[in-house]
This record gives sequence, C-alpha cells and structure tokens, in this order.
Amino acid sequence: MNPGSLNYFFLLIGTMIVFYLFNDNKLKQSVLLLASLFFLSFFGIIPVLTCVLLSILNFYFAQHAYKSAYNFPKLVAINTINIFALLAFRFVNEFEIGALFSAPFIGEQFVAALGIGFYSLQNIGYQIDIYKKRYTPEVSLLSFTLCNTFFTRISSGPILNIKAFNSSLSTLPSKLTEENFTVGLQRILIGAIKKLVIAERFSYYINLYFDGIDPGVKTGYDVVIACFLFTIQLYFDFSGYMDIAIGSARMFGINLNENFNMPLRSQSVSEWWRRWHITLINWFTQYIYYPVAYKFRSKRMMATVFAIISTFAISAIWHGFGVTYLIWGSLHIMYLIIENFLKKDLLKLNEKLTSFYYQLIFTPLTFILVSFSNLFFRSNSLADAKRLLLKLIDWRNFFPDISLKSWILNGVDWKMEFMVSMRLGFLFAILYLLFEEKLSSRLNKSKFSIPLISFLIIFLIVFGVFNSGTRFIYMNF
Amino acid sequence: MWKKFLFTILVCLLFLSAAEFATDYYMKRYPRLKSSYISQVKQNADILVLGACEAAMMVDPSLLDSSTGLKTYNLGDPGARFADNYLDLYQYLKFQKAPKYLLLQVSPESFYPIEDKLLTTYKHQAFLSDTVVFNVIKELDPEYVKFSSIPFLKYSYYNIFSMYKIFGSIGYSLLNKKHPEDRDGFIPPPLFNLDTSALSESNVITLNSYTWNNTEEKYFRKIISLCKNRGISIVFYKLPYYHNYYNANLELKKYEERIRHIATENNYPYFTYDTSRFTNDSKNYYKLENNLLNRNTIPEFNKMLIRDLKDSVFIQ
Repeated sequence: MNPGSLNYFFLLIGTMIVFYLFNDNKLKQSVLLLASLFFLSFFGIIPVLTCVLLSILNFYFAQHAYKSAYNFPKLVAINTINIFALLAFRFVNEFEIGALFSAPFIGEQFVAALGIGFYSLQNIGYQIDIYKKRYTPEVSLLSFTLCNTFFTRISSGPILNIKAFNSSLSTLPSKLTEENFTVGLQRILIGAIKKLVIAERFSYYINLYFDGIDPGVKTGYDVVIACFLFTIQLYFDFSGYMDIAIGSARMFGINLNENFNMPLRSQSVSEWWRRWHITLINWFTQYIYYPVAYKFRSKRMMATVFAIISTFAISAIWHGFGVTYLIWGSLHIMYLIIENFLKKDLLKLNEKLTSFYYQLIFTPLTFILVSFSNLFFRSNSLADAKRLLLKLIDWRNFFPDISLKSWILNGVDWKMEFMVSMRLGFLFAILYLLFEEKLSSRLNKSKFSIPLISFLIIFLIVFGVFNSGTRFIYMNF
Repeated sequence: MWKKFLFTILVCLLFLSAAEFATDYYMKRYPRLKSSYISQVKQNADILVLGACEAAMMVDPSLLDSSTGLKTYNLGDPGARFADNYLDLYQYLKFQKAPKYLLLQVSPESFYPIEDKLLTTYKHQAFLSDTVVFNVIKELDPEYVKFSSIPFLKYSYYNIFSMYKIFGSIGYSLLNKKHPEDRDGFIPPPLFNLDTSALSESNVITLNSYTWNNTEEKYFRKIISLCKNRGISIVFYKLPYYHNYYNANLELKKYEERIRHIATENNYPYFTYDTSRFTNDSKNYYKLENNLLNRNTIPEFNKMLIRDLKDSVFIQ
C-alpha cells in the first residue's frame, strides 16, 4: 500500500470515522495502532513483527534500565540490538536482490522491514535520552508502539522525538475541527500533486537515463539533465510524501515535524542540509555531530571536520551498503569541509555582493553540486555511475547531434508523449518553486477556502499521473 | 465546514463532468489515433494491413495501391499486440465495410508475453463503453479497468498519453484538420541504421527466455474467427529477420513452425523473407531492431510482398 494510493486514502478515511466515534483517549490511540498495524501488514508479517517486537523491547528495556541505574554497557547492549536489526534488514534488503556493487535503486524490490531505518533511529535516540537522563521513560506501551508504527509516517519519516510525540497523543481531539480538517486536506492534496503531477512525470526519463534502458544516455547533456531532473524529482517525491504524512496526521489532531524548508533555495551545501530531510539531520546532529565535535573540541577546526566525516559516513551507510552511497557521502563531506574552510571568505563575498547577486550565483551552484552527488546516489551500481561520468566528461560529444529547432520541438527522444509530459512536469515544478513560500504559508491557514480546495482537487485529477504505481523513493530506506 | 466541503465537492464534480465530456469528444476525434480515425473517416479499403509498429512502418499502402489496383489501408499500430490488433479490427469492421484481404503480420515474437500493457491499452480508453472493448481491456489490464470505474478518473490513469492526445486533438480541431499526415496509415521509420553491437548483445538474451504466450494465441485466433465470420481472406507474413539474429535463435524457427501449422490448419498462406538478400547486411535495418528495415530497404521488401500476393493470393 503506497501512501497516496487509493487504498491508503480508504484506510485514512475509515480510520478517521472510527477514531472520532470514541471519546476515550486510549481507545483513540488503539484505533490508530490497529490502523497502523493493518497498514504495515500490507508489506507482510515481518515488518509488523519487527516493528512491534523492537518497540516492546525498547520500551521495557528503558523502564527496567532506568529503575536499576542505566549505565553505559546497558546502552551499548540495547543499541547494538537496534543497530544490528537495522543493518541486518538493510543487508537482507540489498543482498536479496543484488550485490554490494549493484542493486536496483527503486522498483518493486523486496522490502524486508518497512520503516526500520526510521524507527530504529527513534529508538536509539530514545535510549540515549533516557541514559543521559534528559527524560524519564515512557509509561504507556500503547503510545510508545504507536509512535514507532504510526501509519502516516512509518515508511519514510519524519523521524519523531518519542517524548514529544507521546505528549501530543495525550491531547487527541474529540471532534474533527475545521482547522485540522482544512490544513490536513490541503497538505494531503498538495503532497499528492507534488508526487503525481510533478515527480511522476520525470520517472520515465530518470529510469531511462539511470537504468540504461534503450536508448539511455547518449551524451553528457543527457547526464546533466538526468542529474538535475533527479534532484527535482527527489524533492517533489519526498516532500510530497511528507505533506501527505503531515496532512494525514493532522486529521487526527497530531502535529508532525516539518522535514523540508524550501531546500532548492539553499545558497550553500550546509544550508541545504539545514533545509533537507530536517528530522534526519537533526537526529544526526544531536546524536553524532555534537558528541564527536565535543569529543575533539581541543582540536578546533579538526573537530568540525571529524564531526562532518562521522555524520556523513553514517548517513551514507544508513542509506545503504552500496559503494555509490559512500561516494555520495564522501562528496558531501568534501563540500562541507571546503565550505567550512571558506566560511569567512564567503561571508565577505556576501557582504560585497548584494544578497540578490549572491543568491543568483550560489543557489544554482549549490543545486549543481547536490545534483552531481545525486548521480552516485541514484546510480544502481558503480559501473553505471562510471558509464554516466564518462559521458559527462566527453566534451567533444557533450551536446546531442540535433538542431536547436528539433530540440525545441522534439527533445532528444522520439517518444513525444513522455517528452511533453516531462516538460509539463518541469513547468509545474518551476511554477511551484517560484511561489513555494506563499503557497506553503497559504496551505497552513485554517480557513476552508472553496476555490483553493476545488482548484487543488481538479488540478490533481486533471494532471495527475496515476498509473505508474511507483513507490515513494524514500520507502527504500 | 461540512457545507463548504460538500459545496467544494459539487464544484469539482461539475467541472470534472464537463472535462470528461470534452475529453471523450476530443479523444474520439483525434485523427492520429487510428482507432478514432477509422471511426470517423470512411476508408473503403480492399486490403487491410494489421500488426504492430513493424507493419505500420514497413508496408506502404501507396506501393500496394499502384501495383495491385486495390485500395489499401495500414491499421498497424506501434506497440500493438494481437489483443490490440483484434480490437482495432473490431473497431474497423464496426465503422467500415469489410476488406477483401487482411495482411496480418505474424512473427514468432508476436507471441511474446504481454508485459508492456502501458503502451497499448490506453489507446482504447475512449471506447471503453463498448462491451467487447471493455472485456478485452479488463482481461489485459484489470488495474486500469478497476481505476477507470471510479467516476471521472477514466483518463487520469494513463494521463501522460491522454493529455498528449487531447492537446493534439484540440490542435487538429483548431486547424480544422480531419486527417493525419499519413492518411493511408503508413508511418515511415526515421532515417537511422542498425547498431549491430547493441543488437547482438541484448536481443539474443531476450529470446532465450521467451515462452509462447497463450493469451496472444487466443487473440490471434479471435482475429482469424472474426475474419472468417466477415468473409475476409487472411494472408500471414513474417518479417525479414537480420540473419545473424535469426540463426542464433533456434527458438524462432521452432515457433515459426507452430505459426505455419496454424496457417495450414486454416488454409492461409504464410510468407517469410529470411533468405532475402538484404537480411545479410545489418545496415539495411532500422537502428537497434532486428526485424525492422530502414527507409531505403522498405520499397524492396514491399516489392517482394506484392509479388507474393500477386502470385499466390490475387491470382486465385
């Protein structure tokens, strides 16, 4: 069951009806837990068992350890289990279908334990917080398990702070308010539009370029287009999922953390990481970056370098065992270290140039750097990445051998339907990005607007691409 | 709030009803969609060519017209399988007089399993209200049929294709054009040559894992029985395979025998062209295709086809 699919919306509406039948908070939580387990069961019994068993284990372990002095060996023991489970399922996921150097990026591949990448980090963070005595252990197994399994966000996040999420569960609304309904519906609609109207229109070309299907990549120009399109697709796919997850949760009066803050407007790679997949980066910052930087604080600049290396090395491994992920992580390490060394110069340059000109230079530059790293992120294998790189550096054959008129009319491929669709998607993406700030603030307003919601529904149905059935990209992780 | 929500739904329903009505109208009148074109413009063809892209791109009706004196229409359709051919023929006979002859492209590869439904079933979405069309699509593409049963979502599922055709149809309508560029249905292939390295690597592997598909055979036989009911004589022809490819795949010959058996069973001729002089040279083929000749060689192939037709079909 894909979030955004019709089955998902039937589950959402059914759960909402039953949820608002009850007044008792525990019953409401039970309804959400049952719906979540039902959702997970679509992916098999293993994801259900894994998630529930790890939740029970973490819940009781934290309680028991807290009562009998939570020491470091206990923390290592429980988090070894959490990390082992995460790595084991990653291992099964990737080695079931391929090898270390070659694994399909996305498709109908085997998902051993949906969402384990996300709830494992939640559990690890929870154990560290209890160990550090930042919080006291949770007292309700129901709400703890719900936090891990919650169906609107289990497959791709956002990563939750268990304590904060559970405190929001204590005040579940008895009625569906206009504010929750309006904001929730608007977020779900815009999320579906991002995925089905924009991201899906790029799928054909991205698969064509990266998966080497005939005619595949022919020139360096194709590689550049492939990398740019993939970065845009990834943003619209992932943030579209987030909007659906946040909007669906809002229908139950639950506020999930935002995961994106207009990352395509970033003027540096570090800013990109403050705006992209925010909850994951916050997790890495809190539990890896700060402790490493603190540990090596006497080494001054090198402390930051070590912290960056540790954070992105672990982030790369979290995304997968492939060598391509390690190269992707290494590129970001390099970008961030260089940026860190040039920090003062960049500040001076920003003062010299006006904000407008600085943005004009550094926003596209950041986009290009991130897109280049995504060449490795998206490639199925090292050999595929190499094939693309060789095309990219072949300057003599960089541009396709067609006239400008032919390129404008036909593109570089003869499958006109896909080319027109991709260009339409690109136009929508540009329009969305231009008005992103205004639109985001409008969508979070609680007043029900008939014209706006009608427009969103009609736009989705008229321009949505419903047949691909492709999963959201981050369900892979 | 609920009143506003219901009003919103009402506004959407009204708009979507109008949009679906307009889409239906334009889809059924798009000249470049052959199933729509034949439902709008009379052809009066004596010979009807049927098959996939190879038929559409390799049989030139103008050459057949001038040599035989019979009017030919090419109903070949890129990406089509026998099920599509069956639906196209069904549509054709619904709106046009029955032709005397049906020239049907039948190659061993025509019996590949139907995997790429995406490229074919969307072409019939404007005619889904017809029960024959509906039942075939339901069998081939149940997901689409399920989805299309939701009100106003008939054209959303294959949006990439529908949108392109609707815009195209509106364009034709604004320019008051009632016919496509190729009125007789012939689509000349682009001017590219064969890439032999790509051919020898990938296509041979594909065929080794190939199995005879019973659904394809079912619709192949349906075409035969539809023609028998309407008194249409069928001529089967096979494409001239590039000889390296043909010789490397014993499966091809095995399945060719099976086709020949069906042809003999029904007393239909089956023309094959594997020993033609152009099958030895990969340069005679269209890029990456082992059975699709390029523009330069197509007239020669048509001459051979016409000769065979004259010798063994029209002479009777």
